[in-house]
Amino acid sequence: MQKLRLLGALAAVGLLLMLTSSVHAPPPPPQENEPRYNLGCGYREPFRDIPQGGTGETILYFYSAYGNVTCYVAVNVEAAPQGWRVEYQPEMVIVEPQWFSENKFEVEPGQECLLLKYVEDNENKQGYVRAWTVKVSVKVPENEALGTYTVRVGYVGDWKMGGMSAVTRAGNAEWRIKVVESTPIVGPGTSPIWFIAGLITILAVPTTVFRSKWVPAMVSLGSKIRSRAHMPTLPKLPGKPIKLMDQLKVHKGGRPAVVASVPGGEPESPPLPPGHRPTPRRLSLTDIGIAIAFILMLFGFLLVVGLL
Amino acid sequence: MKIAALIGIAVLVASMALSAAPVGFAAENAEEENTSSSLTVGIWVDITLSNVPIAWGTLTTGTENNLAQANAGNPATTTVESSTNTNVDIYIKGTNWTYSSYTLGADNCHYDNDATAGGPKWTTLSTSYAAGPNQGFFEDVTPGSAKNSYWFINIPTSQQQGNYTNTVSFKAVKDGNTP
Repeated sequence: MQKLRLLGALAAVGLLLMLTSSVHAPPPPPQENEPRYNLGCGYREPFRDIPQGGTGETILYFYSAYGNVTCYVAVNVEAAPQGWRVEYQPEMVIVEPQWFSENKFEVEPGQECLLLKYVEDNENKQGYVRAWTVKVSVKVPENEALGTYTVRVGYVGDWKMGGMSAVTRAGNAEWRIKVVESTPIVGPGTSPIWFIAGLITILAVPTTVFRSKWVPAMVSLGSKIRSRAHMPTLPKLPGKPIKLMDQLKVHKGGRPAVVASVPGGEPESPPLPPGHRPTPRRLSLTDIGIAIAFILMLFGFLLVVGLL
Repeated sequence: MKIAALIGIAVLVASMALSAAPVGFAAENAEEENTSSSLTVGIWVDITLSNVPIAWGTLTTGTENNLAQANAGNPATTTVESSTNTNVDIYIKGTNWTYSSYTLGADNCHYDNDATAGGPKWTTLSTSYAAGPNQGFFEDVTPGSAKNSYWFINIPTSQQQGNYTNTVSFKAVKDGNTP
């Protein structure tokens, strides 16, 4: 019986080891003794339209799935219209070889885990590769004529192989970029729908807000106290005027008290009519609507300001 | 008053719906950074060079068309890997060889698509790529295929002895693009 238990435990441990090793072991790269100087580059095409005075961005991806030698990639601008500003960051990336992985994996900042299709043993496959990214930024002058322009960013991969004739591998990404009319409401990073939403809010809300008792509504929403409509009027006192916030400070009983120091001592709160109990004001649908509209109005305003 | 509330709530709902939907260039950028989506939208050019660096060993002055050593330019292999998703044109250029203050001009070197000097693809090494599009040494190469280039060099009679080095560049661009 003990032998059986021991065998069972050993089998379980063996199975566990097999499972963990199969999960963590990356797929083996092709067996190569000779150096393989590989560099892959990917980029999005076409480039997005850019408004006059606007900026467009895209990313170059560099990877080395088939290689076994580290590659040093430098980026340069090969062609751009006069006055355009084409920038890239970083200027150089060090691409380390890593064979395709069946599973997605964690990457460090400046890297991406890319899914690519490839063929192995005449079989279509796909796998993840570790890619290093270079962000390309294209700034169009404000006075640029409408039309389509060519921007070409080149790269050179160097394995620092040495020898009588060292070999590098170069390439480029070429884009035909359409310059469109600049408008204050539509630009990179937003959609006209946002602007329309903001405009509706700006136009609709003030009308309703100013017709309503928006101050009490906002106050009641924020501090959950009775609105001014239910608040007894305070007597006018000599000396320093009492601030609104001072008036709004209340006792536990719900009756307002003045806590601001005034000449002549602390005034008393006026008595409520006999038999009258102040009823706490509940938040109505209108209050919530007004509050939401107010926030959105602010958001719409900021959106428009940001675009301008 | 209820109209105000309804407008507020409607705009809020619309805003939330819009914020969830990817719109505009910024959202496209975010998508670009999404690893899985890159599969379908990009141009991928993936090249492997093997049987390099190119080497000739020790050569005698006054000799011509010396073929590079085996598997070191005889041939040099350029593989367009299967992960490439467009046909490519491959251009070649090289620098002059230098040793100390001495120079051996790039035009002493030729490359070909076979191991025999001369023929239609016999090309003199230039220090710049061919100027226009569709003028690569290898044109319209399909993914998953390999191309061999064979390298030859002349050593002039007056060439100073020494260990000369240079750099040869293979540039792979999308078919029809300017190098």
